[in-house]
Amino acid sequence: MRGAIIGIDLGTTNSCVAVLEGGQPVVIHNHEGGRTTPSMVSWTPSGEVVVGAASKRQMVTNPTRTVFGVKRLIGRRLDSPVAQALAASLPYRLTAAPSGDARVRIDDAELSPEEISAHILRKMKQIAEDYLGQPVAEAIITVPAYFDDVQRRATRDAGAIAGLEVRAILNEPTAAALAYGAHRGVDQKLAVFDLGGGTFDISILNMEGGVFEVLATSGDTHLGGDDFDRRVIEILAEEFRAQEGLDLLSDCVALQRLKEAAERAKLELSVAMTTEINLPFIAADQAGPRHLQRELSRGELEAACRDLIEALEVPCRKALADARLAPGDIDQVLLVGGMTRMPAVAAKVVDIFGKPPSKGVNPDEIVAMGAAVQSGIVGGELTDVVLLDVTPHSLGVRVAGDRTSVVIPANTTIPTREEKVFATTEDEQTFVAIEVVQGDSPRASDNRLLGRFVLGDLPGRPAGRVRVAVAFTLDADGLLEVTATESETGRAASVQIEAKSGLSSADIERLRAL
Amino acid sequence: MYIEEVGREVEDDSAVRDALARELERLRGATPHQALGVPAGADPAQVRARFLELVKAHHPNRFARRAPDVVRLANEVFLRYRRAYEEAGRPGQGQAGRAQSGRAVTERLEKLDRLAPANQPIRELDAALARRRRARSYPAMPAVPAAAGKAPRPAMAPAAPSSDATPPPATASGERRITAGMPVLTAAALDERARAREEDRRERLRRAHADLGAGRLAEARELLRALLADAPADRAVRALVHYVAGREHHAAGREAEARAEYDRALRFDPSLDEARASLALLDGERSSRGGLLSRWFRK
Repeated sequence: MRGAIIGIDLGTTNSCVAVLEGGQPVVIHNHEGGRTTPSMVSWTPSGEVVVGAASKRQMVTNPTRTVFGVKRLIGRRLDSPVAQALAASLPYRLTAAPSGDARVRIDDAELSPEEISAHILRKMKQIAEDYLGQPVAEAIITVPAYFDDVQRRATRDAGAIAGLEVRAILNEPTAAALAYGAHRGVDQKLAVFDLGGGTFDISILNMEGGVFEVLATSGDTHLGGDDFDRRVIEILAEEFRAQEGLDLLSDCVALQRLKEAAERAKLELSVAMTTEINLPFIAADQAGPRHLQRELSRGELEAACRDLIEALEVPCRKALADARLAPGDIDQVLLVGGMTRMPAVAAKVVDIFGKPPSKGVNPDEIVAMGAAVQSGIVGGELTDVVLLDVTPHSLGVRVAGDRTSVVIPANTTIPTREEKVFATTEDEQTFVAIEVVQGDSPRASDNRLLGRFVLGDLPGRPAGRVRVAVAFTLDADGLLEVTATESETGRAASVQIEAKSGLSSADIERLRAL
Repeated sequence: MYIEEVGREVEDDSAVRDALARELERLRGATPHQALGVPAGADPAQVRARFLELVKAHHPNRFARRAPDVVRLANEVFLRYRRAYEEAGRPGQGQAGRAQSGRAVTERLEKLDRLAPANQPIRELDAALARRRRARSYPAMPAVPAAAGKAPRPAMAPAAPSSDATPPPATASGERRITAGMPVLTAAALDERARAREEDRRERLRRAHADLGAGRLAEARELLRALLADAPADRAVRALVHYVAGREHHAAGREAEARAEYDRALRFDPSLDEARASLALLDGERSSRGGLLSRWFRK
């Protein structure tokens, strides 16, 4: 008798776990009674690891050892623009692994985002086990639709470290659509607008006869609630510097307090027109303690965040264009992610799609519920529903002139396989480097390098006479396998992979045992 | 449909594996409409409805709990349904159609940088290059040096040169100039010839697969021998020749020989799933003879 497969929404700010009961997805409370758990991990001075709400409570007093928003780092290199921008504003330190992957420095240890996420996943696993009264070994984990291959693999690795067999990696907007439509039976076209803590995804789906087919997906991997918080922090810090001459941003503890206050203010301004920000003893100098007390209005917040809200439009238009639909063709718009509660964001949605969003969708829980529905598809309880997702980015090979030769275009339904034939560029070229890139830029170096094959032992021939057939296979989870075979001689050629990101299986085993 | 045969509650991976392997075999020789299980004259709406049914029943997600090789097989089967749907719904524009014509070239050549070997990029062939090369004569294929330790190749006729002219003299920069007396065909005629040859090859391959699917091994073997005589460098055909040999050994109970032939087939064409499936069957037969397995294996 197989155990239950749980569905986990591993969010940037909050995580949620759900399970299928009697064919219906049910969200599981944590020990504090919360239906979501903060995605935060702290290391106390004594070395104890604390996860969730308890970690969030430590955020202010233990700022350098409390990690939040690790989802923004998973699968990223330290030298990437996103990581660099984060490093400047985070209270905890970032470093690089020998491979270049981003790491978090806690005291003397350098921790990977995978193992930090694993702590969160382990907690969600425990919440489920306590509820179900039995051990849990399998899970569906959701990721932003715009996550690339490296980020997906890293998420899977995090699951493995937590002792979970990850049966599927599911895109968050698609999960939301599944949860919304699985028992609804009506054929319709959906737009899922997912603005979470760290990322923005927009997906357009067609529901037909129980098949959820993603038509197009777009988004912005660094646009989320944290950026809105940041605007508020900047307003407050700027004013404080002008009035008091002190820089709050360079003070870890002050920064954390500002962040907490900004997040709270933002939430309150979704229902109120003004809110008060009160931070006594925020800083001190020779003259004595300094306090910050100020009213913030909804108008000010919206003005400060105007460009962020404007930035939501372009991915939506692009997704509609790729889906070959007009806004009027969309039957329902689903809002996912806490940020969609902000009135200005909801207004933008109406502006783009010409209709109000669907009510009755809980933006904080629907993704986990969708993961639970997917667990029913994988486990066999739900037979009338299935998902056809797409790959969000083009996949290709780097060719002469630093160009990308696309093998699988963006928004291709998966699983899929495509093959392309390439040729050598030099006479007597006995080996080629096949660089696999993922991304939509025509310039190869702007895209994400997934791996490099070296195909050796090629026959010595004039330039262009040696042909290499490169086959890309994308499985149902959006993970890529590349094979390269030399076409002419019929000899097997050696293939090595270089520059692999992420953790080795030895690392994962070692971390799992901890 | 095989999933009905297997049944939803079946826990046994090996039964599902066999059913998938058989389905893969059936799909190899099938036209797009046959693959989907719709009549040849079905309209696009029917084709789509049928494809959605197949998607619901056979999406790889449904096999996610099974052994990794079963998941791979499920992905392979599903890929073929997809391809069949694209070809049936929009003939000639499917991924397979594009993949075939991809061999004829699409993008323009770019001027190359002299890069260090480790950084050497690869470029795509383009129509201009292909035309340029066809406009010159093809030199006889040089004998491929046999590398130690590799599988012995079957004795086949050497590649027939498509022209009997000697290679044109090379200039100092490595360019070859066309000189008088060499046959020069128009690009259009060469394209037409290449297309006709490709069509013929595809048709013969399809018949060979159909024979294989129906168990007519001797007919398949003859077809493939003929194909190979025309294009000895064709790895896909070579793989199939080995695969047929393997099937013949397999049917006669010569397990070790069958295994060797399947391995060779895979070396020539790693994507030949029938060979993989047959290897799996060999393993399965070894581990449990008779009973449930032989029931599924019977044609």
